[in-house]
Amino acid sequence: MEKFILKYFNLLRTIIAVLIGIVISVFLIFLISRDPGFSLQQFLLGPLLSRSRFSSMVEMASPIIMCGLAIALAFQARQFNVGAEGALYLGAAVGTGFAVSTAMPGFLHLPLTLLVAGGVGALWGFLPGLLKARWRGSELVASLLLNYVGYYLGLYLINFHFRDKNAGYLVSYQLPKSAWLAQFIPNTRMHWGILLSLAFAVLVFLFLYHTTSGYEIRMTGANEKFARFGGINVFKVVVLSQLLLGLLAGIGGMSEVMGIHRRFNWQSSPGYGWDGVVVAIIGRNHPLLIVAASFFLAYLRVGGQVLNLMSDVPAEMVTVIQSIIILLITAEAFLAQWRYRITVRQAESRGEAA
Amino acid sequence: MRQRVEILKALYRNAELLILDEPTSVLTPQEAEGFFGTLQELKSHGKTIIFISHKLREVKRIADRVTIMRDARVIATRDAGELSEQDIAYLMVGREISSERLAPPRSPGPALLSVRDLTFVNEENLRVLSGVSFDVRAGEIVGLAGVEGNGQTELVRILTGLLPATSGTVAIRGRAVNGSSPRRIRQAGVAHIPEDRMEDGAAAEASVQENVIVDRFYKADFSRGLILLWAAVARHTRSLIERFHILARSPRAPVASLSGGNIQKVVVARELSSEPEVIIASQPTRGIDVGSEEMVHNLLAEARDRGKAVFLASADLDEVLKLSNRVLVIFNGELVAHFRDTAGLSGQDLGPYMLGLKKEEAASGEVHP
Repeated sequence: MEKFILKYFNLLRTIIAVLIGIVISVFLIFLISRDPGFSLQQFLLGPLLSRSRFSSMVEMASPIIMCGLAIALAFQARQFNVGAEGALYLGAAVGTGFAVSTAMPGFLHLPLTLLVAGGVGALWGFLPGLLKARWRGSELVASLLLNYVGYYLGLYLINFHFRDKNAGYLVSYQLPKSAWLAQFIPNTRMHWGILLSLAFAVLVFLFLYHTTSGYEIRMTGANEKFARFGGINVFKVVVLSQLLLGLLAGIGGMSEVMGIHRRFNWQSSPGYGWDGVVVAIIGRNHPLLIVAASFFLAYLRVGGQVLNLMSDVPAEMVTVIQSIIILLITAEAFLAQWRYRITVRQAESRGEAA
Repeated sequence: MRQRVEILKALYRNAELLILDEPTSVLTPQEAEGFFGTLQELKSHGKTIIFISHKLREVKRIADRVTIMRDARVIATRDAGELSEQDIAYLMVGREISSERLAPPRSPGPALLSVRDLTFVNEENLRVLSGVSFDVRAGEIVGLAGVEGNGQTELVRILTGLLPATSGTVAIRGRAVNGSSPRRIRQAGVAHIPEDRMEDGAAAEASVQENVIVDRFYKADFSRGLILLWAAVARHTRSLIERFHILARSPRAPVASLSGGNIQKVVVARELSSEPEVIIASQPTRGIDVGSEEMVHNLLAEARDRGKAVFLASADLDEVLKLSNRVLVIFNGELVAHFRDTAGLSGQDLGPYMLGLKKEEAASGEVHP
């Protein structure tokens, strides 16, 4: 039993954190709601009970997965680039511009549009990477500021160059059909972008743990001096990891545009880049855990929406609950004492046996 | 000096019990003697002192009672008078340890590492190294003695490509390697055992196998194109674990779960298994147990006997004297003495040079065939 606890400590700890978070939420809902039983049911089961809610949970997870993977690539190299939001926004804006102003068959239009968005995103990741590698500029500061630049630049492009004046509200022209990511389950909004995200999760996993470049990224993150000492080109790793961050975020944003609204309709930044930071931390920068974390976050979000719609609990409360859960998961030392005691007991019993 | 300040600080706070962990590692023999005098005086004032050290001679010199630990267990507690250095070493590792000199006279080959007029000025505009010149030939160990902080760290980092020199040249097997990347220098046949294994030598959270391939993962043995061949890496790691007697559960065990001595063995295993021609070792046995220390010493001596050039920078004079064929002394960034023969040489002979009290004019470690 104790061996089992030690082996799966991080997983168990995450589950306990989630449970504590839910207990606190239940408590809060009981405080606020006049019909707490119903509200609770809506919050916890709501996302799973109807086809459309389940679908919105899955489609919401998709860009979060992409941004989580993006952030994880940089975090694995211990580069604190948080520029996924800007890369996603500007990438999708330029990608939209490209898609609406070109015409070609789908098998070309689809990948090229994604590639353009990814390329612009990659540039957005590359800039802080270069500043860091060449002049030791803080990638955290650079990427934070570039998020604003990306946002306003994207907004400018859409509103002044690709705005559909007949639409009645501030959106871009509709993408030509050749650049649509189709729905793969009829009567839902679940589109191929979700499968694309899952494929990328596997790709990023293989890249990080089974390729030489991934090894270089992880060693640089584990100990940069060690990497340099061993002959790894740290300059390259710093730039590459952040460039890949932008690439994935850009593709993630574009696939959302291509799969759901088929127009660029974000007048405010959608926040997936920040969700990416959250799921990268919850998933401990591991691509497959990030997928799980993204679905969990999307589940909480949709549960919150349902709660907001169906009960008397306001949406703000949901954000509070989410924050509590995330806080507990990310607190490194939470339950560390527990693990320590088990480790000591194990060592002592082994000592007696010997 | 710094040690005395630390002790004063402790006494000022009315400490009755002083715990000193390897306090002499940055002292010359002469300074250590003075330091022991201070400790004796404190003892006579009724203070209690716990003196932690892996230097047997110091323990014999200073302690009234000795407690020996091995593998996290107390092995014995005796009066110091009852134990000889040999006895202590035996209890520490559970077998006989030789402290014989490992520097038999032999005829070295051509110079594999040549350093000329090396100068380094750091970011604060301080001259850390000036005009350092020496050779290390095939089949010899050249020791660099000196109190820590006299430029050894920078010298070693320059030799291994981690720091660019301000001026001067470094040549490996006759080819200048100034300004080359660490990987290029490794490819020229240099291995580097760094002074701080946790800072440069290893990534603690990474596994043993990830640690032993950092200089070779891109080679054909371990990768096809972009793909890492973990099976081959694990096989390689297992063979190193066996060959270098590393106590590790598996190749996938994180390095942080190993003891200091075993982490150092991981570093040494990686560096010595890269088939180097030139080995640059900096404090290779600092803070590790006597058994691991003996093993590292034997490995360096073996490499020398197989015709490698070994440059050994160490603050541990016993280590320098035990292994070296020639000894250089560095003070304040300059070479101040060159002993061409280590037979009969003792720490007391080196001390005055290490402290800057004596200086050979235009000392250099060059050899001219």
